[in-house]
Order: sequence, then C-alpha cells, then structure tokens
Amino acid sequence: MNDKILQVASRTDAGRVRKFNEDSVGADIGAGLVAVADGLGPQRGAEAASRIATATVLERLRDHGALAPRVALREALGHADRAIRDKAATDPALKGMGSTLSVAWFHHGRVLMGHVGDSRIYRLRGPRLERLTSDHSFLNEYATGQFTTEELRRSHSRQLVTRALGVSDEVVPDFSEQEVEVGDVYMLCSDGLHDLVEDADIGQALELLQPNLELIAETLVAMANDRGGRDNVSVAVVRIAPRAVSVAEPARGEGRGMFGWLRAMMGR
Amino acid sequence: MPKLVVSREGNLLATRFIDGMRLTIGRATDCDVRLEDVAVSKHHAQIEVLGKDYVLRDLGSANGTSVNGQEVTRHLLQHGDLIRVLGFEMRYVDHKSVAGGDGDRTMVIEGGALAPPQAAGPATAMPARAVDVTYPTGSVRWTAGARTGETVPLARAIATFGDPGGQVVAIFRRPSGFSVAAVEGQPPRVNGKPVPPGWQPLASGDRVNVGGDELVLEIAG
Repeated sequence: MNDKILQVASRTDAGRVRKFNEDSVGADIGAGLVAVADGLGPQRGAEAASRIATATVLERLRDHGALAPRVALREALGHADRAIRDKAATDPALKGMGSTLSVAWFHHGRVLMGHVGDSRIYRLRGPRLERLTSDHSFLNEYATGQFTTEELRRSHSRQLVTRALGVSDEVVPDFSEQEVEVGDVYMLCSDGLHDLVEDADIGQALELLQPNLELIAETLVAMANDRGGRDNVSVAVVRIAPRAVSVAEPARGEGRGMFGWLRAMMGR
Repeated sequence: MPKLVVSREGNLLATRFIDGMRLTIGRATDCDVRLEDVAVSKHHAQIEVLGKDYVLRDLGSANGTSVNGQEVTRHLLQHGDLIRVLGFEMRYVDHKSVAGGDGDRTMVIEGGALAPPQAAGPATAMPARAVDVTYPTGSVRWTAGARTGETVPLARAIATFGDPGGQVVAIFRRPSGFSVAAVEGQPPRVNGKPVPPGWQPLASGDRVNVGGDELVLEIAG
C-alpha cells in the first residue's frame, strides 16, 4: 500500500466583493487529511465557525485512537457540530453561526469523505470529472426538478443551504468511501467556486494543468474572481501520484492567501 | 419582500406586497389581485414562492399571460419584469434580489419549509450562476516548428501546448485578455524572456517558445 503518494495544493481568497474571508482550508498531509469549510451567520461568527470546523475535524482524525476510520469520521463531524454550537452559546454576537464542511481522508488506498452543506468534493479520473458529494442546498434537494437549467442559473435561492454544522440539534452529514487510483485528482471547494464556474471549466483546469497543482489552485480562484468573485473562494487539490516518480517542486507563485505544496505517504 | 405594481393604461391601480406563499391574480372576488374585466379569467394566474424565488404561473387562462412581451405558462420572476394580462400591467419589484444585497449571504433554511411537497420533474444537475462576463476571441499561430503555418482558436478556458512530460505551457482565456503559465518543465520563453511562475498576461503578437515551437497569440478585434 506504499505505492502511492499524496500531493496537495490549496488556496483561499476573499473574492472581489467581500471584505472578509469566512472560509477555512485545512490540510494535514501526513495524516492524509484535507478539509474545506464555509462559515455562515454573523461575520465574526462565520469566520470562527469555519475555523472550528476544519481544526476540530483535523485534530480528531489525526489521532483517532482505536476507532475505525468510518466511526472516527462520524464522531469528528459530530464533535465539530457541537464545538460550534458550544462556542456560539458563549457570546451573543456569535449567535446563528454555522459552517459547511467537506473533508476527505486518504487512508490505506481509500478515501473517506464526509460533508455537510454546499462545499463540494470533485474527482477527476482520466478525462472525467465527477461530483462526489450532493449539495445540501435548497435548489439541489427540493427544486432542481421544478426549474429549467436556465432558471437555476438565475435563481435567487442559490445561497440557501439545508444543513450546516452548529445550527441544529444534531447535524446529519453524508458519508461515502471509495478506492483511490494513481492519477486521480480530488478537489474540495467552497461554493464561491462552483457557484460561478462551470464544471466544464473546473474539469479543464484539473485535467490540463495536472502536473502543477499549485497552478490549478491559482487558476480555479482566478476563474471565480474573473466571473465576479462575489463570494469567498477556497480550493484544495489533491493528486494521487505513483511513489516511484519523483516530483519536482514547482516554483512558488506570488499570490495571496494560503498556499501549500506538500506530499506524503498514503497509508501509514 | 417583493411587490406587484398594478396599472391599466398608465393609471396606477394598486401596489400589492407578495407576503404569503401564494398570490392569486384574476377576476374572482377571492383573488389577491383582482382584475375587473370580463376577458380576464376568474383564476387567471398566480405567483408561488419557491425558496427565495417567485414563480409566475398561468392557470390555463382563456387569454393568456405575458412577461416582457413573451407569452408564458410559467416564469421565474426577476426584478423589473413586466407582467401583462390583457390591458393590465403588473411590474414585479424586488430590490432585495439585486446582486450585492444582503440576500446574497449563505443562509440555512429548514429543509422543505419553503418548497411544495413534490418536485415537478427529474432533477437537473445544478449549473453555475448566470454571469454577465464576456471573453475575448483569440487564436495561436505557429511560426516555427513542425506545425508552422497552423492556427488554432482559443475557444475554451484553457489550452496547453508542448510535450507532456517535457515542457508544457498553458494559455488561459480571461475577461481581461489571455494569460500564459508554465505547466511543467523549463519555463517557456515569451518574447525571449523566461516566464515567471503563475499566470502572466499575454498580449496580441506576443511570441511563446515551447519545445521547438514558436507560437504567436492573435487577439481578434
């Protein structure tokens, strides 16, 4: 199981309209963990909530003790849900805060995914881009059958999410698991990307720029900002590379925001 | 909350806020907006709430409903739409929906609270938002190498050139023009100078050297 290595690049950006960045990206390559969260509610609370979401999940999974991975993932999301609720209860200014979360955990040749809200996980395998998560959003869950594609593009309900961490008595996340293959590219993003950028363009960036993950992250953020950048945008790109190939580290870009270029073994 | 401004031949008749889950329009006395004309059907049309959207539906009226001059049976209302039923005009006003407003922030709603109980048709994959952005039209022409004389349009977001595994360069189509970046291998040269990391602007007439090829960007217009 030591035939694959994980390469990751990530970036988060406030966008072109908002003053604050309420998204968070977390990655722990040694532990095979990548997470993207999009905070909601009052501004200060939204920032806090998304940070709690990514930090809690990474911390709980980094050291999951004797728990089976699937159990540990469920437990970690439940813990993040409660941590946000508990924090909100300490300060009236934080009331109403919550967060989406998408987390991918690469583990022994498999990827375990958990998500709440409308942050997505995509996978490029060969030339084919697939959404691995189904948005917990009003339009996706209740209205896609009632609207034409053109109406969905112009809907005012695009920002309505139906589930988030920290906002209800107990969150119900979705989980899935699959085997990874060498050459797969996984991409986690907040809705700041997929609200503005078509899957076809996302797929092109992942496929054509594959040797340069840092450039992929920069490109996806640029695509969203080129189309108005109306929301914070965060992306984390993961490539499954064969161990035998040594991968040259690309030169650093001069962009803003968080930047990472790391690699690690899969399976410990 | 959106409203309908109802008029007939330029005379303002009423302003009606759409405050419930449904607003009915017609000649019958139980309609929310009454249009008193025998040619208007008793229950002519209605506006339904769907999430934060308002959908106009013609209820099989005898004389039809139009929006901005187009006959409709169902229409997702947008701020400023002009609904016409015979001689009546109803302007749909929804200032809050205009981009940049507070309605733009992500909100959590109770599942199904704002939706009718069943979906009307098969689910559609969620597309990206409609955005008013235009992209330039450009192409690359080979001026050296095996493909000399060939021209390829830059019709998609990204195009790559060079030898995979060797030296590869990408060109990125953006509203502001085109950008170039090294994807792998040695950085390519643009007008003789190596390209720094990340996207760099590429102007019409710029020469890009990648592998043994030279490409020239040509931007139309």
